[in-house]
Amino acid sequence: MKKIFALLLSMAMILAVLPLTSLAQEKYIIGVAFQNVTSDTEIQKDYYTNELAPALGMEFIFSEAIKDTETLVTFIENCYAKGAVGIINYYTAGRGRGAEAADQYEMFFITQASKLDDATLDLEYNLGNCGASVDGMARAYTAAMESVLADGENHSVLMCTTAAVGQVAASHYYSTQAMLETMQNKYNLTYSKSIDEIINTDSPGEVDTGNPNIKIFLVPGTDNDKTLATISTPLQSGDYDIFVAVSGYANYTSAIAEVERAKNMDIKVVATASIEKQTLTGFTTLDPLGNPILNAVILNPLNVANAFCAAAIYNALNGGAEALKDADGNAAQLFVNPWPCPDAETYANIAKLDTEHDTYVINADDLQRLMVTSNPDANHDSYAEYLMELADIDAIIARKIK
Amino acid sequence: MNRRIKNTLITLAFPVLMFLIMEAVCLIAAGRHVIDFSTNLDLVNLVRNTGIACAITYALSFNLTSGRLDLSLGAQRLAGTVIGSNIALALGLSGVWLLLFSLTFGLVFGLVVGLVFVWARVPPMVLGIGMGLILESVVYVTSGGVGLNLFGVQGITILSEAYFTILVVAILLVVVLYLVAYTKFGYQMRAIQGSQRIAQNSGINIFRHAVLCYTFAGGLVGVAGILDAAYKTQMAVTSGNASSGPVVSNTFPMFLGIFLGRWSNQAVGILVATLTLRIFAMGLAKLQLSEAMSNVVNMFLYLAFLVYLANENYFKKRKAWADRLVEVQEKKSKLGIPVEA
Repeated sequence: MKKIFALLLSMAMILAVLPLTSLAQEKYIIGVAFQNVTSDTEIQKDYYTNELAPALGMEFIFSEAIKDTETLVTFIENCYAKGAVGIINYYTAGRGRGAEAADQYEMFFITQASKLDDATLDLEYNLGNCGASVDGMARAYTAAMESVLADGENHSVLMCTTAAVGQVAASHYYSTQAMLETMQNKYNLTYSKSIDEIINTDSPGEVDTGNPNIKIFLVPGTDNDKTLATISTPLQSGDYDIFVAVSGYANYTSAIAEVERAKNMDIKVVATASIEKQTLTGFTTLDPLGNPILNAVILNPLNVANAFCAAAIYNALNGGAEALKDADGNAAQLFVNPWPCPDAETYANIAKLDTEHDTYVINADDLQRLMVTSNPDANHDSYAEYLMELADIDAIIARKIK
Repeated sequence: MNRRIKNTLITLAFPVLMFLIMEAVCLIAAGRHVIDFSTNLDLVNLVRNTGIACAITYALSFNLTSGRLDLSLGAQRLAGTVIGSNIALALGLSGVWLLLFSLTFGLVFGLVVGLVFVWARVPPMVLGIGMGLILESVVYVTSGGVGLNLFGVQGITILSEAYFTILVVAILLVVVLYLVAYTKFGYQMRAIQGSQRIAQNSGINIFRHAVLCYTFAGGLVGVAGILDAAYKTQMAVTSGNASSGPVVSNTFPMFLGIFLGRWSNQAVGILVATLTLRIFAMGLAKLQLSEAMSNVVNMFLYLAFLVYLANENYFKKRKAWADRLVEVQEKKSKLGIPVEA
């Protein structure tokens, strides 16, 4: 009888422990839909896998480059089939349809974009956006432009405004607007059209500045590869000594170097970049005239947005979905502030960030502040407040770099 | 006039005419020259773009002229360039070595696709889609999703230099010209282009020939890939057969090249056609058209050319038919058969 009792007791214990064991091992599966797959994508994947996954009990499925809405929806469907409960989306143009698809499968959905899709604001599973701050980008580009215009000389600017037309990428639109305003204020320019009309023209062309000594040429387009052919004509004229891209710059560098060599002129380059080896190379590699290839960058704190997106989904899965929505209960817009970096010396410090646990701007310890399980007050407003704190790059460096 | 001189003049007339037309259009519409000779920048661009497009067009011509549209050619370009160059970089090599490694790996991937084609006997377009997707995935996995990044790599500038591009294109021209015009492979190619069945019945091993075509094409797109990547400092991974875009866009110079080959030969025709269309593209860039408008103009010209090709004998045929009718009517009246009105 004792033996039978002992056996029954053992079985009961095993049956009781088994679900706990499986619970302990259960992980939230989250799909990450990348719009582009570049060298900085690997840095982000490392961060997702090595820092966020263990801290949030998540497992991430990464997409290849998603270039259309159909591919995004297919990726969401595949993630659902694999048991995913959330999607972090980078493909901004498909955020509306993506939110609908994710909602249909009852998967929480958040996009790294700067402009909400109005049609999907009230979807239960759509958490909204966490994207580059349009004001922050505008401020950063203003600061970068002021730094390259600071010598008091007349300068003419060639601007690649990729995806700014129609605010396909809202941050690109506002960055371009900020630069045009900076030029206007600096040189008292009188544009013949409104700045909105200038940015929304889909053909490349020179802006009528009302000052023959100051030229501005806008090159719109959908991606850098295609605009490369378009920039040749204005660049080769030798009229433009500042080149600005609201996205990456690497594939333009050969074309710029050829013009510098042929015209014996220095062309300053301002662009958006990430904390990665390529940015350091840009600051330290010299152009044909012995000047750095890169003169100023607007750094996109990629992993900050990643941490907030993952934490938002974590909270939603733990009953905190409503707390993350705005005052009207709709999907919210959170903004990540970029870090302006005017020179190589500044970048040398920033480059030490985001390399390992201790230097991640938001590491597993910092995540506690964002998780509803460790901080019941975590909500939309506390997220916004934390994001504002992270705008101060000097404070971050002081805190993270020993 | 000597026939050879006449043919040479007709062949050269195409790029010259295109230049004159675009020069006039650009001067009238935009007040600028299609090629600015005050610096060498436009010429360098023209040479580089022509060289890259010409290598892709040669690659296309190996299979497409025999009725095989290889949709994996873009993925072969991607795989040959990214995998070949990354291996070269890992070995501490740069410059011309990148070209040689891309060429070699392009040949290997072309050979693989060719062997699969012969083994599986799947229609070329279907096989191309499948192999394209596989190769894109291979590139993604082997490069860790990064592709090829040449930004800041020492020694790659030579690959973007105009003289180097001219040298590469000259070598390609000689090799393709020799292969197509003076070898058994070339004779077999023309026989297969005429009728695959008759060629096979007459003893030509059409499968071995197909494998060779795929292999040569793979090598050529490998060369095109590294020249392009060296200038843009990167080649990103793609998926969903998006890599086929740069290859498919070169079908226009290929068809135009074969057309021009009537007055020279296929290899020279393709080079001249590529140059002609690059001048056209440069003109469009000088006109500062939007991306969408440039595409519309390009595709309209392409379509117009294809319509012309499909109907170029229309008036000859109509005349022949009318002559034949007259002949029949005369014959009938001679024989006393009533002629219908």
